[in-house]
Amino acid sequence: LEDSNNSGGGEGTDTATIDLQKAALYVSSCRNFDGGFGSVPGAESHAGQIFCCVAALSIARSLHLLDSDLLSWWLAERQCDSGGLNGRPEKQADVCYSWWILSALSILGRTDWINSEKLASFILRCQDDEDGGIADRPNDMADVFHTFFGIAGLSLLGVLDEIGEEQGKTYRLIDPVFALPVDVVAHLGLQAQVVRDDTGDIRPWLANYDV
Amino acid sequence: TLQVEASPVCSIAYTADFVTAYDYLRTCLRTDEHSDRTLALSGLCLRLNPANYTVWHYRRRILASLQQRRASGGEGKSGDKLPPLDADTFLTNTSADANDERILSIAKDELQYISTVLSNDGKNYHAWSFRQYILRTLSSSDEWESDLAYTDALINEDIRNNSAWNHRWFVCHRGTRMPCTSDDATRECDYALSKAEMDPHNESPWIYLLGYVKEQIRSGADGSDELVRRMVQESKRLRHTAADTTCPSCDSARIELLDMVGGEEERKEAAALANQLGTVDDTIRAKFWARREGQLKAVRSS
Repeated sequence: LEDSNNSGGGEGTDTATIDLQKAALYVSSCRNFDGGFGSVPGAESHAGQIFCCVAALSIARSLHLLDSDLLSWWLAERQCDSGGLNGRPEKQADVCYSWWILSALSILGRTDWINSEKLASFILRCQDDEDGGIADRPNDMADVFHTFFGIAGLSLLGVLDEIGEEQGKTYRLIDPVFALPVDVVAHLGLQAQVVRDDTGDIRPWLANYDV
Repeated sequence: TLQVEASPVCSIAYTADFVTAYDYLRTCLRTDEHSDRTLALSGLCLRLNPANYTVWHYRRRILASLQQRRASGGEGKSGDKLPPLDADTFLTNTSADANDERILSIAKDELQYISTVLSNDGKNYHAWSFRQYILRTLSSSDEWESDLAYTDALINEDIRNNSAWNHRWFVCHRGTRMPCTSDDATRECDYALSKAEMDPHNESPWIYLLGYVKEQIRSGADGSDELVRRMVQESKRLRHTAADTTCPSCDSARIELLDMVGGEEERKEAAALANQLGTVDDTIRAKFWARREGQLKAVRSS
């Protein structure tokens, strides 16, 4: 059964074997009344599915098929009092949404629609003081999955940079479309599309993309 | 969840029952057996872990095979010989004949099974997807009606169950993207209001209501203007019932409704509300509200 998770997998280079327009239209058919996306048409909007759809549409240069403002508002509403992000209304905040939501907001140029300081503080509180891993929420068991997404979230927030400065280190940035280090994306010449933010700017590391 | 290595980096502490059930499942998956016993096994494995994509997918494939077999005159559930069914079988993506008692019976069994899964976890994403698949394929007006009542039951149990609200939208639209009639839209907006009244802080009914209003406006339906204006008034009334407390869910819906009406007074009121949210009631989204306020204040070209 085709679902929106699969549409993001097509590499931009080999367009002869995939009908990008059809794939983009399929993704668009998964759009819901709240501006979000589910795994198949009609399925509930979910932040994880939203990342897949937004990144897929970015790769297909078809971001015009979504309502950026409405979707970004829905994503911004995922921020809880704790500063963490949930994946659907009335569910618990979870560190992995730091990636799923921030990446989508980065592509849409609206990362400042959530409170960065509070989110960063939430992610850091999810780190286990003893073994160093990051858990889904404070005081839970750490695992590799949430450690990756926590670090990726900190990277997209620019907080990893700040931490690096304090430590005298340089950390690579992660690309929000491909979830790869930006230097790898550049080296491979991968192409995608992003939306300008409110000031008309693009983050420097996304400058190679179409706008 | 295949544990192939002898000494994995991190062992998951499964119970003995779980290990046994999934050992059987893996064996059946290897031969890809489709039978009544593997159907039952998939149900057992899903009760143990309702979030396993592989098992849901296996279950769907088993059902398809059992249906095919019955269609071609093979054995029925209790070994009865059933006459052949129509070529368009239940589990292909074409619609099934809901008048066929046997198809309806299978569908009802599955819907019942899904309901038991949802009674343990009302937000299980896989279960809801599967339910939508059954309903969309069956496309029976009786089942659509009965699921409308089902969403109401779940919403009454937990007003904040966003999955139930999403399913209600799906059911009202018969699984399509066609706009509802204005009567249906009005009914659903009033339904959402009645639930918002019970708890105005809950975002789900407001988002649901906004969805219908927008859909009516976009489709140029008769009465959409009156609907928006009435919803503006209703949101004001509800806001007063949540007096003395902040209510960002209600206020943000009200901002959208006022913006839809679009007059100068309405936009002014909406801008003031956005300012209130950004500076006092919903400061975590301060930057968003500042932007929204700016949008609302911007002079519109006529």
